[in-house]
Amino acid sequence: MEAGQLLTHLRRGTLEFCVLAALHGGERYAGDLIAELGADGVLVTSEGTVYPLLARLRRDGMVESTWRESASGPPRRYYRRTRRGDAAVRHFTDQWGIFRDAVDRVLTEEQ
Amino acid sequence: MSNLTAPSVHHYLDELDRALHDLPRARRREILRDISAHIDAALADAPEQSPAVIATILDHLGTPTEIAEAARAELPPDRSRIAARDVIAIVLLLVGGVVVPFVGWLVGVVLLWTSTAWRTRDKLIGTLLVPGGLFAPVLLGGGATFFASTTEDASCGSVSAPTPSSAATVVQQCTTTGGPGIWSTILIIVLLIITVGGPLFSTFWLIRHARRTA
Repeated sequence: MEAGQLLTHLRRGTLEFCVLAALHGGERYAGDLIAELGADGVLVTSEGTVYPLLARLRRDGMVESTWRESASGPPRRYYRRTRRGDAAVRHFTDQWGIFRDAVDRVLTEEQ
Repeated sequence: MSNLTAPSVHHYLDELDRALHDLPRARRREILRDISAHIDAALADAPEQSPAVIATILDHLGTPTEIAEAARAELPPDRSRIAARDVIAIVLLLVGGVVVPFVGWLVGVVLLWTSTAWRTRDKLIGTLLVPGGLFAPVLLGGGATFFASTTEDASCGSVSAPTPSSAATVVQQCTTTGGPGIWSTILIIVLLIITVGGPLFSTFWLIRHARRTA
């Protein structure tokens, strides 16, 4: 499996929680959120693909969004996490710890 | 420079619109609006608005195909369709026996048990509630009509025998002989309700519990 494909597989099921986690500080402009997630080129490689994900999270009641006029330029869409989103992040954090430890254990044995 | 005036942006959004063509209208519009706003805001934030800057923004967004794929991945699994063979099974179980007595229903049973869309519990309900589907009530309904007409003839025929009795006696005789007729009518109605309700229930059950495919 090539690197890009492997990352795509690993992102599936984890990226949505990273998006939710990145909304920890309250309301945020989507563009900033995406820029942060894409900064290292690991979690997000194509910024545009985060928008369908955000739209689904909104439909699932994990986030809420508002369009706000900005002083410089066009209106921007801001997102905030709902209580349901908070709970989802907490749950994922627990499960991720267990998952990561299990993978690390096996990988350590491999070395 | 608004994104609508930059030809490369216009082209990009057009391509995105085309790539999203198979998505529900509301989804397509939301994504187009989000991407368009993203480009506008990124341009507003950029120190200069040159074609090179626009190219970088579009490059970071990814190709329209990639975005459309991501959008498709977020669609809920399509649970709207039952496979054609399973629909045929449901129809045959219900009315197959009426069209071709026994055989039509039996074909439905074979299709039901060879299908992977239902669990054994569902298949048992589909088979046993009620064997023959609507054949039994059709038979019962026909029989009841026949039975009702013959009893009526028999009871009233005996009364119409020439006797010097009054009209009151005739009526009395009619009701007394009609007694068992009423009970058998009630019995037939109850049987009809069970034999019609059963197959209809199992039809709804099979529709509800069928595993659907995209």
